[in-house]
Amino acid sequence: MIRVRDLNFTYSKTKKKAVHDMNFDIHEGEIFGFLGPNGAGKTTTQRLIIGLLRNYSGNIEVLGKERNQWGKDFYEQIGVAFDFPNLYAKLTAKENLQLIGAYYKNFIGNPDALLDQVGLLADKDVRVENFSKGMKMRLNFIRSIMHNPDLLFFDEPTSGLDPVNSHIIKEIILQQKKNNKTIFLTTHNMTVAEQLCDRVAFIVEGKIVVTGSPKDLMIEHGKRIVKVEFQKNGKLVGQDFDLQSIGSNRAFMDVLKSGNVKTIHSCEASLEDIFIKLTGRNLV
Amino acid sequence: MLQLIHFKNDARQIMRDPIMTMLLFAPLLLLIVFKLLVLLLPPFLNAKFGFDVAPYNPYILSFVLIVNSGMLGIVTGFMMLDERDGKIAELMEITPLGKSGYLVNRLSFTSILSFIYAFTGIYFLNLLELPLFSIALLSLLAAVYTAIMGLLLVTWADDKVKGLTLAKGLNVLVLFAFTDLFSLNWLTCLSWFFPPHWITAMIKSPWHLPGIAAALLVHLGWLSMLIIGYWRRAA
Amino acid sequence: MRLLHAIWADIRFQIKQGFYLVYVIITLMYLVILSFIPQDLLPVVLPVVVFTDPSVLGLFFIGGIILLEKVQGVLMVVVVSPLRTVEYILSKVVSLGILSLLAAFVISFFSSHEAINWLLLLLATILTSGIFTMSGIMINAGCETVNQYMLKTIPYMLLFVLPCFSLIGFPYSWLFTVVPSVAALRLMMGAYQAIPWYEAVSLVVYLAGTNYLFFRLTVRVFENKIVYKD
Repeated sequence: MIRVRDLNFTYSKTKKKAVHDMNFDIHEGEIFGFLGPNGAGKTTTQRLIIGLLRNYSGNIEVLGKERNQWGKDFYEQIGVAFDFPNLYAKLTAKENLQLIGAYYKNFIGNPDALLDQVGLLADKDVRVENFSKGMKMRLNFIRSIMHNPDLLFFDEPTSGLDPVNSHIIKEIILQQKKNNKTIFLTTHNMTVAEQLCDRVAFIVEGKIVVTGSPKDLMIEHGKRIVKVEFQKNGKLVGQDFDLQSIGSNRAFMDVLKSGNVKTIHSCEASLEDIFIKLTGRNLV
Repeated sequence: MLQLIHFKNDARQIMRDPIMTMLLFAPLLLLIVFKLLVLLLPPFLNAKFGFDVAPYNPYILSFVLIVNSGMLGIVTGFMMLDERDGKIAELMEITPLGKSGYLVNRLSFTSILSFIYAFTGIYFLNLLELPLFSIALLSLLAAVYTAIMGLLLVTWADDKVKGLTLAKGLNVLVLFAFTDLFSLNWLTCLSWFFPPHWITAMIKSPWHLPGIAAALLVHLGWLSMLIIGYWRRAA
Repeated sequence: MRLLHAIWADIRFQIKQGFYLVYVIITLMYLVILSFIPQDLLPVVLPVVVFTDPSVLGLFFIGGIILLEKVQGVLMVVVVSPLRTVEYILSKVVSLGILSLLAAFVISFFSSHEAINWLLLLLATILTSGIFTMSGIMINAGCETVNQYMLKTIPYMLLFVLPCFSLIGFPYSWLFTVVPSVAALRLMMGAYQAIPWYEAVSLVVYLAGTNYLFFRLTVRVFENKIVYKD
């Protein structure tokens, strides 16, 4: 779907080199997460692929063609949801969808089903200026998929949303994946990345430092031990056991048999740990 | 509510934003242009068409005063509309300044400027001999008119495009300064309800007390109605 | 098809924002004023009124329209939709041109001046309106606030307006006709006064060419400063 080779980009105004020798592939039907701190170059890379920035060096092959060979037809096949709702405040939810939808050949025509999916059907005739942030984000989100695009770009799709609203959005993203859509997601929300992404890439200062599936990364960067907490002489004590030989570890078996075990944890790293380890800074 | 520090801040903000500085000097520029026109045009019209401008001097002065103070009001209005679109207004409202403080702050600054420009403008253009008392009163009304225009824009427009539409529509108000030239009954009666009519009336007869009373009444009436409207919207 | 949708959306937006209502009021105001102008001055006053207000309304409004689209973020959405920049700009020019045309026609129709060349009025209004709306888009490209836009407009306005005084007539004043606004005003005058056919044709051709050049330039400025911010 997307094949990026030796991508470099410098902003002409500030001379800031935002993207350094970037290489990655995104396959059809996968959710690919771009993770990294603010200002690492996530959005710049996304904008290069979408075509909002030009004058890059290297290759961006997307939907089978070099990005700068594409004309405006490219936008028939992609859907973009920016990180804040871009909507006409004076128009109703349905009018918003129909207005922008009219620019696409593939527009589904009647957006009611989509509105229903995100729980906005009852409010379809309400002006967007009266919407809450969550409602606007949901509307903004379905606006990006209403022309049935093959490739989707989401920038912080759940930022500023409560758990219910972000659950709705995540469900639809997974639904899109089921329909074999390819999804490029940028976020610094590690939970979202862990729940949704097939593969993630960590970006630090314009470079990709690690790529892989969240599960693999978590195991690779974790410790191969089990932490056990148990009651001993009326006190809670903790002990670590090596995973490699755990089946034949006497001490471990004794603890299990004692019936005093309170908690058992394997120690794979969370994406958050990996993030901090790789970027050398805390999440913002 | 009117504290020196707010004025200082406002002045600082305006001086640091070159655009705002230039807009504040725009009325001065406009005054100079009018002065040139007043100096150069009448002799030309007289020589070429035998047209005497002098009888229309009160209308010209009225026009300059209204355009100048109206422009300052509209600039303030747009400043507030831009701040609303950019969510800065919300930020101001939750500072100790508060919503009313924000409004007073924004409007009083330009109103005072409007007063100064009107006062000096009347002397500078030197179109008519007016008693100091009228000059002071006219300048005060110019300041009120500036506040009225600013308030009209913020209360009636909810975004900058509506603001532009409104500003366009408000141009029509200038017409009411000339209504007694047209001697159309319905138009004259209509114009009684609008400030510009009374500015012309006051310039034409500075000592006509009912005229002065009506001018004050109409100006302050508009101002208080708009302030009440602003509070209603805020509540 | 996309273009028609865009134009229709723009017109609906303009109606909602009260453009048409405000022009009803302004037109009435002009009609009141015009009814006091002596009949023999109308061939001069009418074109000046139509030229200075309805024809240039695009310059006044377009700044606010694009700024609002920028602030609400919908401009970004339009940029990543299949709508071409060319179509986006045409849609703005055409929708505002329609309002210009309506106001110009109503003012002329209800004035007491009779000898009006409607075809010339149509062409003059459309061509003038286009030039000013597109100038507005170009001036707007680097602006953040309405006040900024209005201030930036002043020098350009002076460039357009001052040469218009050449129509008063002095030796070689016809040379100023190369300034598009002067050509436009001459054509507008022609709609209300007698004008030789060859002069009208050459003015129309010249203004159409200017519109085309402005259009190409506007597309480029818009793409460089608003679409691509690299």
